[in-house]
Amino acid sequence: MTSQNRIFLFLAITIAILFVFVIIFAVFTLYLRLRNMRTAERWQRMEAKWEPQILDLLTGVQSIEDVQKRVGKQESLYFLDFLQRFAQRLRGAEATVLKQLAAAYLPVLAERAKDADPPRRARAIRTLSILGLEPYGETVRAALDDPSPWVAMIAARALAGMDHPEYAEAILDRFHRFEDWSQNLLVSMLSSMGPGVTPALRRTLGDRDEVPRVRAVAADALRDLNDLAVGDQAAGVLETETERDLLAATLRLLGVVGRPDHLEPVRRLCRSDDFVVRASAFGALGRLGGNEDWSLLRSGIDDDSPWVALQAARGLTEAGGEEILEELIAAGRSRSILAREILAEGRPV
Amino acid sequence: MTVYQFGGLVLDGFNILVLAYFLLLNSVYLITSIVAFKALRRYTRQLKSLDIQDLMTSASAPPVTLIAPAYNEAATCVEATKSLLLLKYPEYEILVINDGSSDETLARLTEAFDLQPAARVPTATLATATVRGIYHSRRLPNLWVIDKENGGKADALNTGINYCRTPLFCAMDADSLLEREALIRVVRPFLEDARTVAAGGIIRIVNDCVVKAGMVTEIRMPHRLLAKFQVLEYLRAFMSGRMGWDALDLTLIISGAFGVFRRTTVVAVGGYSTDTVGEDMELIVRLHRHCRRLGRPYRITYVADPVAWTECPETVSALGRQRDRWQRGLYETLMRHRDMLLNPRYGRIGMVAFPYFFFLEMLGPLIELFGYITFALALILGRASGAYVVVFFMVAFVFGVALSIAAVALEEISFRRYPRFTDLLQLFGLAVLENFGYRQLNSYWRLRGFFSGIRGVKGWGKIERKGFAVETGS
Repeated sequence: MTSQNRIFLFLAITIAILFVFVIIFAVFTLYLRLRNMRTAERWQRMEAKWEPQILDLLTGVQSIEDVQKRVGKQESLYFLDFLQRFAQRLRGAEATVLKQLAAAYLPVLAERAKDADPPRRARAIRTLSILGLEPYGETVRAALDDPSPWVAMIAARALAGMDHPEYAEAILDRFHRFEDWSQNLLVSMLSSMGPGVTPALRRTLGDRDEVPRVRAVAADALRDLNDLAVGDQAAGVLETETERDLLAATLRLLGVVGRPDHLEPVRRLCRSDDFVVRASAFGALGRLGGNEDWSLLRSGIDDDSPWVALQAARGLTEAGGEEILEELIAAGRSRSILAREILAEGRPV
Repeated sequence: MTVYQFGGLVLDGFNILVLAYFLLLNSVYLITSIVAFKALRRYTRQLKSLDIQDLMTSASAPPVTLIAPAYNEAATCVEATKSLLLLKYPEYEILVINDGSSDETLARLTEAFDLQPAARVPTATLATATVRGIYHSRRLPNLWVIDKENGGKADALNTGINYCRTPLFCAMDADSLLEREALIRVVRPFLEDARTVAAGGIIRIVNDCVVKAGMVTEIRMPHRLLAKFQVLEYLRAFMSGRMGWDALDLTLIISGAFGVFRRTTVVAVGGYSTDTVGEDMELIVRLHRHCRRLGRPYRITYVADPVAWTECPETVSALGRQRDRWQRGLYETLMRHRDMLLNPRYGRIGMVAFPYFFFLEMLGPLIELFGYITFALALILGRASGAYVVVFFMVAFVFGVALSIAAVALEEISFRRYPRFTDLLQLFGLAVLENFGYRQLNSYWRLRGFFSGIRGVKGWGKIERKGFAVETGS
């Protein structure tokens, strides 16, 4: 046999082996399909058994113990999964009843939160956060230091929804772990912690050693929380900082919580070289300013950046200057389409 | 050495080259399949701890603009737009771009959605064909239609980008049907990693599925064999190919039928290129180039579960035109950016993904078709040894069948969208059957596209739409 033929033979055998593996894989897939179909049927049967029980429990016809008797020992994890989905649709007293029902099964889940497998830990933390966050708060809090960023984020989002300032502090202490996540998501998470977190957020906003992105997130969260006490501090940030995202977020914040005496830095930033900062400044000016700012807002409409022009035009309507937009339309000037669009925004479609 | 002997040596040499090509190509597919297997397992398990409902109701999801270009889509545009209106997403706007249709597209949209002329200012200045009018629905505040002169799909998308006001936009085909949660699922990478500039979802074949009120309500295998083959092809391309490439951080294509992009980055690179039919791939290559040149951390990714359903060609001629166009688009993109080939400046994109597409996907049909011819010639001339014949068959066909079966298995262990047991068996059968005729035909169309690219042929050719099998919803 030539060396070439030996190579050919080796290749043919390798591929044949591979093919055999794939055939085994395919047969396994078919087996999986059959098994999954059986599992789905089992699920359906269990859910059909539990659903009326839960409804009876919620209407007071049955007790927690009655329902628990219907859950087999091997079924507890399935039952928790079912309860978790059910609980997400409920609020108030009904949700509390479900949490009481789930309590007997949660220790298994708390153990799973320490599993070596990250998706399994993530799932356990999520279920605990829905069905037993109060008693297992510390388990979820420990997950903030989980090696998997995904598990840590699930824990953070769960804790953020609780009205416990100590958890808020724990999240903020580990905020660097979440820096890669989108700003929107971080802002929404922080603001869901409620007003108790505002002192910590104010500290972050004012901390010049902190990275600007984190300070910008803090500013946006304070805006969502409508923190009226932060106005002076925000105006101070506008005086001293130069970073685009931080300035834009602080201007958005000031647009909500500011007062007319904060207008000076806002007016100054309407002339910034950066169009993002200018656009945010015009947005804030529209909310805080009055008719003395109409001419500045009017000048913004002619800005080269369409984003600045849009914010300035919206600002004019907020500052009560619709008549200027009407004049623009009547004069048929280059920005008349913008004026028409902004005026139409205020009318019902 | 006689001419005959020299010819024989050339033939032998080419046969070895063909064998090496098949081996390399299928080995790459094998690697991506194995990587995809691991990635899919991880991803599907991670999905179990994700609360899509929570993401949808929270303020964390950024607003998105859906840009749906429509050219002579009268048959499907109303149904497709309805499907967009039913998406589950906190805040989104729809811009349907009527790209100078000569049929009833605009009239049907106007009638169905009660459109009226409206004012809207562009926020970017990408060069496009003239906009003739802007319309806003009286009933649906998030629906806009922009009527423009014909300029092609890329031009229509650029028009949409010019009028986009949100941080993200979703580029899609007007006839694509997005699943209700598709948008929130495809936006997830943008939430989890702020460096993400583009993300694409999976495209599945809608032919003969039941569509009710703009949504696919019953998934069925198509009736026609040609469409069935495409179901398998799409599974292979997305479940094994794109998933595997993405796991290796080497995504070089996001399908034009469904992808979400960061608007500022796309505007910064000048939007879609209007002089190629492969504008979707070209944009991704340009985004890679732009971000790497600036040294900016970025991520371009594929997400396996958000689904866009699309109608596939059911006639040989229509499919041939489509594949010709795809290959032409690939050729145009790779030739335009050929300086990225094996260029370490572009990291693994330049050193791995680009060479793969250049040598194996672009030049592949040329080698493959000539390979079949020279293989036959070698058999006739008695120059092929028994071992060569066996190994050629194993490498060219058996390896391919194995990979197709693996792709079906990947679908089965992850999303299991084809509900009937017989569908699964059919897909396994198709994995064998496609090797006898369909695959060679495909290579021929791709070769034709390759030469069309060299000749500089332009245009999309005729695209036929039969519309969806619609059942009226309540």
